[in-house]
Amino acid sequence: MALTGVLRPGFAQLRVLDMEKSIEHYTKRMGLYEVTTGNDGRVYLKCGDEFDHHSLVLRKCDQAGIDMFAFKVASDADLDAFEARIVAYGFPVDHVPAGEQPGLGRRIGWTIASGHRIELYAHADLSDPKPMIHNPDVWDMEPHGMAARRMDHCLLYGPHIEKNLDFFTKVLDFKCAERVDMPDGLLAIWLTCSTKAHDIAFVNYPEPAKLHHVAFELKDWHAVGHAGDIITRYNISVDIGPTRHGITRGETIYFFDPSGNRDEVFAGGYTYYPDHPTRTWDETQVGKGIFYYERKMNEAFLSVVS
Amino acid sequence: MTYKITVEGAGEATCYEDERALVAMERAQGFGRLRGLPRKLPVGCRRGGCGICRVLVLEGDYRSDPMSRSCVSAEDEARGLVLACAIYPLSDLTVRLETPRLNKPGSMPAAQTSGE
Ligand code: FES
Ligand SMILES: [Fe+2]
Repeated sequence: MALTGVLRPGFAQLRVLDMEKSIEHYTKRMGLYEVTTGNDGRVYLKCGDEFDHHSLVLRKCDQAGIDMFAFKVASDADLDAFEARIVAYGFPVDHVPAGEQPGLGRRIGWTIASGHRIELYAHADLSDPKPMIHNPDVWDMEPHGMAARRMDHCLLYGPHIEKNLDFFTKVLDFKCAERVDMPDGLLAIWLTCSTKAHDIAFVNYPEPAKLHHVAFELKDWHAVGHAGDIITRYNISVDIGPTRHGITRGETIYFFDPSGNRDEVFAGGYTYYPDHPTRTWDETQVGKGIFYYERKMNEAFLSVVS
Repeated sequence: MTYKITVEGAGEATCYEDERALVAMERAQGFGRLRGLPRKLPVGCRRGGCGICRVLVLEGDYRSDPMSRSCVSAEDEARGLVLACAIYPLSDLTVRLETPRLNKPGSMPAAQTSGE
């Protein structure tokens, strides 16, 4: 089957306490590129292996966290079709005009049961650097820092994630690749709209609209090790890793940006196809699912969010 | 130059000039100098964003980095309820560990689209 409807994560908009330090972190250390600064001061960044205009937006604010997570859909007609389905499901949808973020077409947005704002859009201009398309080299601009290739997914914390599961699968045509069920209910879900093991994930948490991490994909396990060297060399606050997730199988490091938002860089992960069954974890093995080598969660996994 | 951070009921940490109080406390616990703590010191982002490291400063001077307002209000900060990872001692300090508060629902910043 071809990918239709929701194609992939498009951008995350993060709130940062110090813009200058944040730009340095995401560009010099993680290897993203600054595309432009908007009139309102928001800064737009991208990875070198992405075609579209930007995949990360930084907004200066006195509170850390995530403003929204947006997905790109295949066509403008999809926006209307999804809007009708979202409204029919019961969530009011609002409209963000083209150009509200430089390089992007019109967007639709709404709030899901966990309190997070999700958006869809169909059009993005191209920006540099981007992959070459005629007699292409492996990269146009030489990768630097952690050499993040793309903004890949996010993990969000909030209440009612069983409602998020229902919504994403019924209305946005996502699939649930993995889930964790505790004796007292659903703890976590990994949802995909593609052949990746996840494009967005949720953990049940009493407080709405929280961010656990935004993740950027690296080339391989060696690149994850190199990212670990950068984290120590530049005294970036590390959470855990390098290690591996049992869930999705990704090789990973969790660390924090200068505002305390958690970032992940990772490599690997299995291929998911929409006919695959959901993989499930229970209370006895969930530690191995989260951190495969440690075989237990660290204290921060369930309690530290922004 | 070093400063002494007394963690009420737990022990003492040595904090170097321009070092985050939390980092000194983490090191002190690693060296077994905060034996009075019943559990592992709460440590999260170390960058003023998650709120897990809230302390009440009972005595002493410090300077601070920006702290996320979802963890510490302006009033909190004025009375010394701060994030240990976002303060740098300017004298010896005495602190009391405080449990993080959960945001009340609806207290997230609005207007996701406007810059500051
Ligand atoms: S450890 Fe996150 S605010 Fe201090
Ligand atoms: Fe992740």
